[in-house]
Amino acid sequence: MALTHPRLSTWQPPPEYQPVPSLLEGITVFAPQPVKPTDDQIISYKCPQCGATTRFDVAAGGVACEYCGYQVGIEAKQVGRRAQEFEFTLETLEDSAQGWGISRNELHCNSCGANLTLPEGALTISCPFCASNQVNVHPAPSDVLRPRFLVPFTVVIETVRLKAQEWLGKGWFHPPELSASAVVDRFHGIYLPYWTFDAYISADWKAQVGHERQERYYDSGDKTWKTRTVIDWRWEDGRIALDADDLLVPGSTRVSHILLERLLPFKLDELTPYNPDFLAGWEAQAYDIDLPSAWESGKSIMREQAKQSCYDDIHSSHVRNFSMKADFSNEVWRYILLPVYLASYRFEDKIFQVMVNGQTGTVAGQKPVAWWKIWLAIAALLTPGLLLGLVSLPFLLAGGIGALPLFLAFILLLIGGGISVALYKQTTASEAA
Amino acid sequence: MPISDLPTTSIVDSLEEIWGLPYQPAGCPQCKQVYLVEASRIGSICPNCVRGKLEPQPALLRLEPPERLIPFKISREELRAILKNYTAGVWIRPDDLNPEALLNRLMPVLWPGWLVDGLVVGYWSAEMGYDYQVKSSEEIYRTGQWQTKEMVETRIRWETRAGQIVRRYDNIGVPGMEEHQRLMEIVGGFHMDQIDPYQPNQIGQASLRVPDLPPESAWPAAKANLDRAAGEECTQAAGAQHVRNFNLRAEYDSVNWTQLLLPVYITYYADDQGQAHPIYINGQTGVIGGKRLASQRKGWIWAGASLAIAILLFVLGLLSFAATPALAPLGVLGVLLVLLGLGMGVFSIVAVIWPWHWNRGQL
Repeated sequence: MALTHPRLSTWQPPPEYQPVPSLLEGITVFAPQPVKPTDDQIISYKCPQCGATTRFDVAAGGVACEYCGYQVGIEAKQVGRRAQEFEFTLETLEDSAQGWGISRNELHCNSCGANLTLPEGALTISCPFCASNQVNVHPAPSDVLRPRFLVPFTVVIETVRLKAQEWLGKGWFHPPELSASAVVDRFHGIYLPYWTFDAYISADWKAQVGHERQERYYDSGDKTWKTRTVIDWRWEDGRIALDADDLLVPGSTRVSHILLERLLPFKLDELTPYNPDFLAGWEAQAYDIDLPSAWESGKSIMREQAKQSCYDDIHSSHVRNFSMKADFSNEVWRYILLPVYLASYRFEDKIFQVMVNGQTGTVAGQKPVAWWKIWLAIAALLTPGLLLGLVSLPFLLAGGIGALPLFLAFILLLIGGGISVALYKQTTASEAA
Repeated sequence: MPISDLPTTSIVDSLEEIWGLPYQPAGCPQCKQVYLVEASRIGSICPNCVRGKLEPQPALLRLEPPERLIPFKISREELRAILKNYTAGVWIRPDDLNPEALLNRLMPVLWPGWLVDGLVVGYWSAEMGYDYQVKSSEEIYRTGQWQTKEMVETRIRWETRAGQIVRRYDNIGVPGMEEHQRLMEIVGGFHMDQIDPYQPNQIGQASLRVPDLPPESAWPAAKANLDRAAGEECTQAAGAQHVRNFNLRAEYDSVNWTQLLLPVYITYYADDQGQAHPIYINGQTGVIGGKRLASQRKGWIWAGASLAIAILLFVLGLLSFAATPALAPLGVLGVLLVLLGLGMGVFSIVAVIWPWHWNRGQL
């Protein structure tokens, strides 16, 4: 590889440089050694003291053995929102579309030698024969597409159980016996895949904007001058800039996105470089929503935000023929893992899901609805308006003072109807997943 | 590379023949430039400053003949057309700035340049730029619908590289005149792919300018050009598309200097004050350049004449107005005369301002 010439005998390449192919004879090329990708090797966790299986202990904040008390801290410094971001290169987009774990669906346990079948997309597994915890069981399609950062679990399981039980008892429109009879106990912590997206959006908008104006006119019927409001429509345009930062988009189709939405926010200031130790003994899922698909979702959220910013830029509530053009630039992404506890409970032969944010303790889930309470509440909301209307009708027919009560009844009915619809939506959302 | 390794130059006083030509050295006492010319050219105008006259003078030059030459390619008819087109751009020009006079004074000259060959041996380091593509998008909202327009943008990823180089470079062009850069800006450079081996019979009657940048003075430029060639090849070797912060620690072996001759036609004209100004035509491409001064003196004359006519027309116009009560149509004539007078007045102002404004752009 090195060239031979008497004057080149003393030359040494810079430290940590390695030879790379040269396209011209007579010139050698050396490049810095590539940063070693995060270790893709399967790691088994065993206690060096007693040989038992070790796992990440949330309370201790490190890998611990529950049998002999051995503990070891994890060397990982929080990087927060400064965590490295990646551009949308054509190469990465193609790699991402290949998905995870296609090349490996069987695993030879390093600990006991058993052959295990891997669940699709799982990043970790516990051997059912020797109970050893193994991490990095699926290879990434490219180095940038392995999880580089995560938020570790900080809420211990006992707190999760308490919070979940407390959450079950909340809300008047649920069955009264729910908190007493349903038990949410079997929580399992899982690191779920998420994509974060940043973009700078510069948008130009154009619309016909209506400006209200008071106008005096002569009412020939009344033979009086009156005032009315008219709207003058004018074409207007403007420009807004929006800096979308760390928009979170779930990377898994296996969990309810409605419930995940309710778990937000995650504190991304606590993002930590990926270290397999954090995953020891915990489930972790690789993405099955690839980068281009997730970015489409992220982009549609961002463009709606940009549209709202354009509307906010218009100083009138009357807008028609609105159009806009949003230029995206500096688009970057990250692939991260976020901690979530999952559980389900049974109530009256139905299964309901519960999730708890493993970082903040926020609970979200499905809860059964005591529909008789809802219908009763709706009836109570609509009754005043209906009754007043019924009472005022005879007065109106008699040519008396019925018009005013009828108008009041109408207003009450409107208010009651509005609240009823909101209540109905809230309760159906409570059951939805 | 030590100076002692550079090719030697000799003082040539007078010779019967040099480089296969019956030429002798001559210099201009005004601009101090030295030429090799035919004996008949002694006493003629200096092709450099076009003011002094060539006198016999010793020259400091290499006795080896030039290696390469770019032949003259422009015919006399083409030169006439070029000069006609060039002078037509000046509206009020000195009498001397006319195509025929310029054509009659044309002097074919060969400017000197160096061709350097050498082996570059050393170590290099640089930041190499690799193109990569990213996907971006533009979202358009119209009639309640979103439309996505995807765009692919090319960006550069910079990475450090280092290595060794042992490469030979041939015929690297190096200036042979101190004014090389300025003169090349005027004549627009030469196509170095149309280069012939030197043959004395290709010189015709052209004067040969003696390099005023000998190899020892031109060496820094030669080194820079060799380094630039090495930099381009290192970029190529690294498979990169761009390079920056290129650093080369090299030694230069087997360096060989030969001369290259570049063809130009030089002509000149005298301005209002009788001062001569050169005009250059690239003998290979026909690109023409040089100062084209307008005649301020002619401008004043035109202005004076048109002002006198303007006053006369104005007075006649006023007289016509005065005679209107006697003969009504004279009023119309009066209006016309006054308008014509005003027009001539404006023309006289333009005739003064235009040469001044034009010359400001030329200086």
